[in-house]
Amino acid sequence: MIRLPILTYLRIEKYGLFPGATAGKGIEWSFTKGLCLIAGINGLGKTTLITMLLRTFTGPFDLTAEGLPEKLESIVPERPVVLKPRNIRFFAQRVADQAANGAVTLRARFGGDELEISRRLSDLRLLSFAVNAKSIDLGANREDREAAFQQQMCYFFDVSSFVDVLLVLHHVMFFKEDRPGALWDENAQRHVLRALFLEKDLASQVAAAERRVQSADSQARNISASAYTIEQKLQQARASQASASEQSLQLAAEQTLLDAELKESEHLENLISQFDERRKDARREYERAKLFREEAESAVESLKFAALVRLFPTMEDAVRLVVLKALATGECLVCGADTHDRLKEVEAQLAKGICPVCGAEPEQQHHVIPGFRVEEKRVKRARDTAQLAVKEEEASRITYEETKSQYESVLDRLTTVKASIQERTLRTRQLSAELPFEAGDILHLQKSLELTRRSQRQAESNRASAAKELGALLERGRGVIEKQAKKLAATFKWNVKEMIAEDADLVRITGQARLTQGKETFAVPAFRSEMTAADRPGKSLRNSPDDVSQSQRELIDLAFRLALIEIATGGAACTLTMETPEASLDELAMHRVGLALHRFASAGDNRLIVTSNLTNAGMITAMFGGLAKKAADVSLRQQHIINLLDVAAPNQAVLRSRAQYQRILMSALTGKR
Amino acid sequence: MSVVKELDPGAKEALSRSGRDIMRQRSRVIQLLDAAERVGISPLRAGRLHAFAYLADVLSPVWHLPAFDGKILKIEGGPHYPDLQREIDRLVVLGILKVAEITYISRPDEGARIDGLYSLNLHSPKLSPILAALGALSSEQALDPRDWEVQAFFVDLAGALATVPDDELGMSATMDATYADERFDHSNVIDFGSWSTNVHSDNLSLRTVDRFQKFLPQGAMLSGGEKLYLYASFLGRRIRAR
Repeated sequence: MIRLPILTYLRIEKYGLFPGATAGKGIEWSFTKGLCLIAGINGLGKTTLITMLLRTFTGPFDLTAEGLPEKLESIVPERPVVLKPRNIRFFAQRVADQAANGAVTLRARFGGDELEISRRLSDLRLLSFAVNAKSIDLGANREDREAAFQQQMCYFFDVSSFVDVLLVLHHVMFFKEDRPGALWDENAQRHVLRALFLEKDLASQVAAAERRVQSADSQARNISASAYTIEQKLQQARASQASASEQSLQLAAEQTLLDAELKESEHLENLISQFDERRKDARREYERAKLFREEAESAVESLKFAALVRLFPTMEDAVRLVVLKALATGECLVCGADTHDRLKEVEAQLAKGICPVCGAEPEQQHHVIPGFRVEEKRVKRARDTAQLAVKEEEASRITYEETKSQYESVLDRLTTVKASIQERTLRTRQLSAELPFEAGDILHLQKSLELTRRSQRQAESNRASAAKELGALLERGRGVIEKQAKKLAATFKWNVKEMIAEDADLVRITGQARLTQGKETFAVPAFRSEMTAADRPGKSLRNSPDDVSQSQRELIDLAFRLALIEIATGGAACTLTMETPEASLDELAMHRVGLALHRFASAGDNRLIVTSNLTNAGMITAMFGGLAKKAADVSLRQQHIINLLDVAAPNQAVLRSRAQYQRILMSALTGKR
Repeated sequence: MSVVKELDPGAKEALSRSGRDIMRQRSRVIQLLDAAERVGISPLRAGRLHAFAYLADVLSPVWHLPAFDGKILKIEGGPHYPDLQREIDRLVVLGILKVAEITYISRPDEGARIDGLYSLNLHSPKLSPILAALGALSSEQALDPRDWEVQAFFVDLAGALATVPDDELGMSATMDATYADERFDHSNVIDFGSWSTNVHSDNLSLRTVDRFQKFLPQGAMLSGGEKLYLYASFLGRRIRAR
């Protein structure tokens, strides 16, 4: 089970951006349980401070030289990558003295152990590292010190590599603005699930096997490209050797066509794998839409049925079914005609108590319970949902048919091209054999081509065995992650319902890890959210961040991270760090999210570090648990604020309007506006 | 299945659109209920009828028959086919099926689902020619000779499922190896023979059935029917072990 750090203490010294309340003292802060609000307007260093917390752990390393990319690659690097100089000098560039003497010290608790990490801010160099106040000697050489530190981090996080530490920091613990989260970036999700849930050996074996597959694929593709170049040369050589020869011209023409077909075939292989995934998604949505349509229509029927039973208790079930279907869906089950006009008529008859089958007036009827009234509102709501469900089913059917036909058309084309390649290869061999004379360079090229093709076959075989090995490892990991799926879904549901108004769930699907550029894909468990929406019946699957609003995207991801933390740590306390959670939320949503964050911060020994630019005071109030009832509450809340208006170097806006900003902050703290 | 044309006034319109599929679904329902009738488990509640339809689909390779749908949307409560249910309702209206005890079961998101006791309407004059055409009476009368085999498979499967207590029949599909496959969560389509390129790998029910062979003495072979009975008994044990 992995461990996440509980931050306990921070000291920033001799860094120009944070001179401290008393100039020159810097920032010294003890993180106590609950919320820590980093408050300040734009330009005071909120992001810098959060980044400092992150970089104290990562040092001058990350998943790429640029830091965390917009989207993760399909494989993670074997070792952490050294940041580019300008990224290493992130803190230096922000201050006039290049942070020459600046240093950050962070203490964090992992279970019963407390770590203290100190880094130089000018270049992120590790200054000291202590466990339980005892300094650890990491060696003299800078590289060795970082390597030893990273090993220590793997031990304390209890993951298999420092790359996995980086994944957990970025995708679970630090929630930064403008970064796709663990849920929406499919590669990130796969790596995070591996790092969090697989046993350490297996986690590292999977990551290594993924790299082997990709490397073997890349090798096979490079050799294939070389073979293609040799073939081109061979073709040119043959053409120039006997330019007048009819066979040679024919051979050259055939070779050109063959090359084009080989390229097309490769392109089609890629396309088919994409279209296969699309058609499967479309099929799933269509099947779900069919089921939901039936259930929505049956909901209307059930209301009508209850009414019919009350009105005509002795009516036969089969007759009831005919009337019901006509009433609920407007379809006549006898002849299949559209009965919407008749439906209005029948409903009017029912409202007056006239028998819809024989037309008998109430006074002519026997076995009828009078006083029947259709429960209009409930029926209307159910009918509206059913109508939307019908539209949704039709729309998903069209998408399904389209994607299916796209797939089939690519498959047809691929079959044709492959057959043609086979025929043309035979023809070129025949033509080649019939050429009267082969010059030395042609023979040489032919041999070279033969050797390259042999290497290509070997590389392809290597790729196949690497793929097989990975497949077996993924299969072992699959069950482990699937066992957590129910708990993750339940925790997600619990979290998300506090944050967004729509009804959302976490759904496990079979995702595809695309590690090669060829047709090989690897099935892996993956999670998506499904959610209700305006003008759509029921819940629909949201596959990409574009399928939801910006705020929903962030909140769904937050709920997912909270679920990951809860399940992966077995409910242990941890620290979650968030940048401006109020961005893009409306007033009511802010209140909801604020309270949800307050609940997280108040649970156990959790710490929640949040930045706020004071634009939305309501969020701050909610994160502190609502209105402050007495002066002591306000004073207590102030002890949970790193007030950058006081401790950061003031910019022009602060110099001009400090008092006003302080009032805004105070009003946010009290909740009184 | 052109024989159904004579029996259905809406067939012309239906055949012009998705008629073939409608006819396939209707034939399927009639064959399933006929098999249920023969082994004495009729009438069937809607849930059990859908479970029976699913098991017939997923176990069809045991008899070397092609799958009907070859896929299922995994949902809470067990397999359910909206297309099949629509045709069940229509067949009731056409007088070919009987329904009793109609009720509505609540489903998530304020939805509902019809439930009732379904059986063949043995008094319907239309029924006998349909059953004959579907190969339920003799192989000579079947329009498609394969239907005779399909019918024989359904009867054997129904017989095997008759050994599962009545109240457990609906649950048996959820215990089926393919449906219970943990690789697929609810709301996902399990493909065991529709687009699947490796049926033996994707159809776990078939793999389970094939494994029974390993427990036999060398040289002994299980017939298709025996495999179905063993599988039904396996499902029964899984239900009771829950």
